[in-house]
Amino acid sequence: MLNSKAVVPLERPIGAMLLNLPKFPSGFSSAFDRIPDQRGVYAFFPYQHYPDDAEALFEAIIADIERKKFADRQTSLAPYYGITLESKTSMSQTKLPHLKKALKNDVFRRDIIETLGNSLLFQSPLYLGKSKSLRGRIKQHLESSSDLRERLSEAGYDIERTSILIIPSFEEPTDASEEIEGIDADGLTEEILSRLFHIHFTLRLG
Amino acid sequence: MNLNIDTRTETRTYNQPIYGIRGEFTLSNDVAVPYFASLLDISRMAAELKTHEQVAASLDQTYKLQELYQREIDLERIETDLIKNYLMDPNKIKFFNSLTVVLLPKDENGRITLEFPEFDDNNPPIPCDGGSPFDANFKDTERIIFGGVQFVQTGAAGISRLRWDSTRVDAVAVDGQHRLTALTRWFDYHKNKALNATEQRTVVPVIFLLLSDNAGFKRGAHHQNKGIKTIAREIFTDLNKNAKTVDKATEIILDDRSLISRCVRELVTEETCQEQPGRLPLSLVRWRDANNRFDKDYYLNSLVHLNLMVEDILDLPLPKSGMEKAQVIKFIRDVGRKLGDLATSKLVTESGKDLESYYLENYLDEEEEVVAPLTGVPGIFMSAAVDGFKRRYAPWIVRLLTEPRPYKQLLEYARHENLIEGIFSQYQSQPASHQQSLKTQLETQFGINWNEDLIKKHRDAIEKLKGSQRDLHGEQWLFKAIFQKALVKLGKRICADSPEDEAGRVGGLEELLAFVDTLVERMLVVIRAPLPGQVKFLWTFISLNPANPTIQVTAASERRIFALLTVWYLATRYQRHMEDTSNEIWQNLDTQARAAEIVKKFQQKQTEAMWPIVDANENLSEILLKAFQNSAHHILGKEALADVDIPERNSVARARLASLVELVISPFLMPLAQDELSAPQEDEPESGDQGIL
Repeated sequence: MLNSKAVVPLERPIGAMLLNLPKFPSGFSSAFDRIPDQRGVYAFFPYQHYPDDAEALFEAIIADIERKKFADRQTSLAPYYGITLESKTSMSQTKLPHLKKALKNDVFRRDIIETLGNSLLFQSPLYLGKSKSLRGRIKQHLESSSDLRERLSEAGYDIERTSILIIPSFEEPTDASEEIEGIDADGLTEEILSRLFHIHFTLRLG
Repeated sequence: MNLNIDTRTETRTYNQPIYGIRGEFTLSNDVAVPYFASLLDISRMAAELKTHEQVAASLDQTYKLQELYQREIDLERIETDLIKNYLMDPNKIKFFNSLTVVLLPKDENGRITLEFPEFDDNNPPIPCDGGSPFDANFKDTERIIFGGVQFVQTGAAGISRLRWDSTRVDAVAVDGQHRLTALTRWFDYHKNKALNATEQRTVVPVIFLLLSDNAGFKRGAHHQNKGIKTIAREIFTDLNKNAKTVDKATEIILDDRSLISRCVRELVTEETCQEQPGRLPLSLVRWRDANNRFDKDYYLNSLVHLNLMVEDILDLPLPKSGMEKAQVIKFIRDVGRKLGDLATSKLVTESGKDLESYYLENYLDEEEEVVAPLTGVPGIFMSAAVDGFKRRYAPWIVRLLTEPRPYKQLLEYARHENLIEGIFSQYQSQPASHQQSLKTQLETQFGINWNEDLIKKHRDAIEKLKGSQRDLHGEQWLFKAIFQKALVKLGKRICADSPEDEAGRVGGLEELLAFVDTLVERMLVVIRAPLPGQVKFLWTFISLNPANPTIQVTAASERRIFALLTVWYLATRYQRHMEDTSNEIWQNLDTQARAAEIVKKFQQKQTEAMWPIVDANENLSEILLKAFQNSAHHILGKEALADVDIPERNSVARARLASLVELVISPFLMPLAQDELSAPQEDEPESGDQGIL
């Protein structure tokens, strides 16, 4: 499973890896040294680790289903309205006993744990970014006063219990290509990716 | 007339009565400490009260860590601060607050015994001979006798009377020993025991603790099986917890409020002259002075050095401002990650309270504004933090400091010669004044050469084990503080910081210990270890001065030692990993080529992800390469660095690092095959060409 090791290297692209922060015994600071100090793209996902006990697994799944999937958005709908859009989902009351019963089945339970353990492959990230220095930028996000930490915490996510997908750029830019006058190239990339993939907790778009 | 009695045992030397008031300190039903509060003039204090150092010396006396420092009287401080700058300063208004004294039973040799024994004739008449008419008032009141103590208490406002037999009882200060020493020395040496009329009027409050059941002492369930001596020692330790000691550095070790200090204490035995599994014997640890070195003399380690290492390993800087919420929360979370529960990364008390919640509830008001500073781990969480240290750090630290061969040899020698528990340690742990007074006893018991036979011989033998500058290859790195700090930092990287799932690849404590022993076997961790095929010694450009083989004691040098140890260790693990994967290309490489390949690999970013070769944003192999590049002219024998172009610097640096790596990955002392034995040998460079300055 993708969540079973601290560092999961990907075969392609070269240098890409998944860091499961909770797997580092002294905390995320020892994970920094594994992050390449170069440009690239990174994405935060919830660390998917579920208990084997049926009752505890049930509680954990329900909690995760009901947790916010994106930050609340508010806007005005002129001339008379204001709208708040909030993430809100839950399993129907009739399904809950079915789930409880199914989780008591060893095969079903193991299967769901394994599927959830690999769910990074089919879920949108909590946050996605691009940076000239992957190590430096990720370190900033993990600082105790970072905006991202606070934003995720408000939605019930602990940034220290996340998995970070890291994709270093294959080619280092030459001086000529590095800067496009008047344009924040990394920011532009972030916006494209966020709009394409509905990143849940983007700090600012555009 | 019976002339067969021993008149010495029949002698009673009771002091003149002291008058005062009886009181009692009791805050629970089963514990009560009766005391007697009185006033003594200076001449009586000097004559009748003692400090711990004045109590008869005993080799049997062992000491707890705190006591080693608390009992030391700083005579220099007394002469300067207390006598010259205070008592003798006419501009100062002088007052000493009360001393606390415990009456302790002693045997005929003056050594403190466990309890007050009963004697004949230990109830002298009242009024006493030579006493004042006032003494008669106590004639018909209740007397409490224990050992050589006569205590009389009246019902009238607690007025009481105390005497003791100085041949059977010592009155020892447990609080105020410096004040007592100051007054005594001032009286004896500066006043020649003659006070003027004004000075004679001075009386000092003294509280005597009456630790006898007869006097109403209730020791409580916890102390039921403890003797008077032990209880008095506990009182002494508690009252002197925050006393100024010999110097600042050792003062740190006694501070119960310091997490580092509490953790360091978990690494050493609780007392001198004892062994405890999983701890360094205090008897072999340098504690007497604030010095981090342990490369000389009989020391296995040093308390100051342990303190510095633990501080470095835990890396928990206190919040600069206890009122800054963000800083405090960061500190709390850091503590949780490093010392808390592994699953939750929270520091939690036994009752289930976690530190962050405790902080939010107790240090912030309803509006979440900080109202009280937090500048360290709060007292109620200290045990949990120390437990975390004991679980996650202490076991591997102690093993790393005791199991590598040179440490083991020292310990084996110490055990074989009974140095840890025997006379050697008993003598070394005595205060200086007691050592002086024990000399006669030791000479009587062991002969005139006792010091040579019992002490010096072993100190010399242990120093020899450590190696000396006069040896061919010099001293051992493992007894150098700068090296050990780097080694323990590597230990932290492997034993505390590495994810569990990487144990197979990166190894753990057992592999690290085996690696250190390999370095020892291959003579790589001696100061003047040669580097075959290269100029200068192995450790030159890392931690030895290029001009002469003296150690560079700097932070940069320590970092390079750490870098080399890490590169070496990971190189051995990498080699093993490649052999396990049965990589064909790897199998066909010779040792030299493998070493070059490892140097190349360790600089690659993909390797940085899978192997802990980066520390604090720096690739450790690159730290070494940079050092060698900057010394390329020395390596090539050129005048200046500018004489070596950049590609050549890089090449020289890589070659040197590869040579270093080769030392640890090459098979060692492989037996020659038969055909190799008979084949003509190629010319080899003379060993004298290697490692010369």
